[in-house]
Amino acid sequence: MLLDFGVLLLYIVIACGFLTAALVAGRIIRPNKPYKDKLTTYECGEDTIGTSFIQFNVRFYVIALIFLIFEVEIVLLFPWAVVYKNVGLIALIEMGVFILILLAGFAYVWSQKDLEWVKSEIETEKEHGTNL
Amino acid sequence: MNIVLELVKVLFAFVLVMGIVPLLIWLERKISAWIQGRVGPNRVGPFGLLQPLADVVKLLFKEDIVPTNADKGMYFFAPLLAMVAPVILFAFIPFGPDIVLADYTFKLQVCDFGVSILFFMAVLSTAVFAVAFGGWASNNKYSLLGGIRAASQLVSYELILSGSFLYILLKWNTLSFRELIEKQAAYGWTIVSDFPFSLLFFILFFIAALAENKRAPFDLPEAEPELVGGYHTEYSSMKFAMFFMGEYIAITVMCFCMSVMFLGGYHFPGVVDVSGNFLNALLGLAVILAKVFILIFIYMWIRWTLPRFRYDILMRLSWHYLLPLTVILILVKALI
Amino acid sequence: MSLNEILLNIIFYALALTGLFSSFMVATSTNMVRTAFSLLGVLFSFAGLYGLLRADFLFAAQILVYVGGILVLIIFAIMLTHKIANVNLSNESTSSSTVIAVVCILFAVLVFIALTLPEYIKINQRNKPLTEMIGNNLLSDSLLPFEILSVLLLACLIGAVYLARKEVKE
Repeated sequence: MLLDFGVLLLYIVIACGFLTAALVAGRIIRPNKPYKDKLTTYECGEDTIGTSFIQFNVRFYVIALIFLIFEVEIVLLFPWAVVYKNVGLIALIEMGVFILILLAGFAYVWSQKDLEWVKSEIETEKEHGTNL
Repeated sequence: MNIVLELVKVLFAFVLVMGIVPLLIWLERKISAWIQGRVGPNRVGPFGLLQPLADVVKLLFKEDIVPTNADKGMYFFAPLLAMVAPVILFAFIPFGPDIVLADYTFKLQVCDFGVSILFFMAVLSTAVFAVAFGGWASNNKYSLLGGIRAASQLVSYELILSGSFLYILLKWNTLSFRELIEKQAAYGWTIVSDFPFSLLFFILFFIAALAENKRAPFDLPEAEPELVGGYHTEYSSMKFAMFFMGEYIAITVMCFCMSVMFLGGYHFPGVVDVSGNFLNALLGLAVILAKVFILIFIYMWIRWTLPRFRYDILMRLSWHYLLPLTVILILVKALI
Repeated sequence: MSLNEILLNIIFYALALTGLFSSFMVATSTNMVRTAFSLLGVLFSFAGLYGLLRADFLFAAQILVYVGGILVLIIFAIMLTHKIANVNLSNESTSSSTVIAVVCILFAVLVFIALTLPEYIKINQRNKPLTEMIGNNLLSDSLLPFEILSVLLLACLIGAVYLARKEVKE
């Protein structure tokens, strides 16, 4: 067990060492002639306006939120799956209830159209007051 | 003595996973050419076999451009993460049967914690950060969009991967890849021994793996008509090479994982046994590599055949179809 | 000291130092995305410590839930912030003296707990895998809390999604 930990550490050290060597080798042999225009942000030839640290659509956040809840659920299912064959009926009932409660949440989210990526214009208007 | 053996094994594993990458680059170009009726690389070396080497040399000599507006520290770390995470993933996968030398049992797997599947899942979930941080640190709108798209996509499909791992646990009642292969050797490969479920989960896992590797038809994070290069738009030289190689390593590792989970890993009836001699281990390695390359060929076949999905279809596929299907299949499997 | 103990110590101190250094970066960095990046280091080193204690399930759960889930959520939340154009934000609502006092009290509590524990958990004496023990426990003693947990998760899901949607409307 501990030996495995050590071996894993050794493996990671070798991987990192290799990467560092590649980066250092690159730094030694490649040219380095920067000038101002070369170092600008690439935007297909247009001048950049503002930074790109912008606020983006809340949908990505909602997806991550739903994901987190389901990830917790699946992680909790793992210990159950290891032992459920030894415990019998009660394990099945318990897990059935557990999954069904969360499926209810999933159904709610689905019915509220939080899983839809493209919403119709009418819905967008309803949410934002204006048609964006 | 044992420590020297372990060191040799670790080096071998690293060389194996790094050595497959150039081969994959060459294969990808040859297969795409073959599918499209072209010849593909044929100038550098026999059959263009040295083309990947030429690519690496070219990338080494390229100037490394760091945009003025980028967040320097994280711009540097993101490609490292992109490459180290899949390399670590390979550590949990057994790539050959045990070798018994004198009285020391020598496992062809970098580290065996007994719960390798859990560890594999855990490290797999960190793949999000390389793209998210890389896209953010570049301070480029295309990169940021690519990074966020990638993060959302990976997160959505990860649930299906986790569900498939849960199915494997329900079916074989083990969390160790090594035990999994032993059980498959005894009772038949997963894909045939539990027919309707295993095939469905194999397909689910394969689709999710394509999305997790950001491969076509799910390569939205780097959709060039809309996002230039996606999250690696601003990366050049060796840093770009790292994103590139990291992607191919991730593909290799996912194919290894699939062959272990569903196709019996290094086991092949009548060819590989558990005698523990050296020749047998080599045969096992050849068997698992053959399975991996078949899977990789399917990956490439799909990439050069199917058009790219639209982003809303991609998300709908995951949340409206695949995820409910996974949960229902798991419930049914548990009930039976 | 045997070779095993030396190895154990090296791994432990490497993980602990990484954790300390990353926590320090989390506390001092003024750039929010960099803070999230340092948090990655903190969570990883603590997961490594769980692994060292042979709490394999905790290791995986820590990385899956905290690193793969909550940290992604945090990154998205940061990118959703209104003032993201000015990334150099720091929380200036509390004076540093209060912070130091709170941290000192917390540290004292931790030291007290560490010193008064009846005995160190005997990590090497456990013969069953942790995942199996947790599973058995979930199906016997902790059955009711486990079911309540699912209701809690449901409440989280609905509440959070509702709030996120409300924010968009405003």
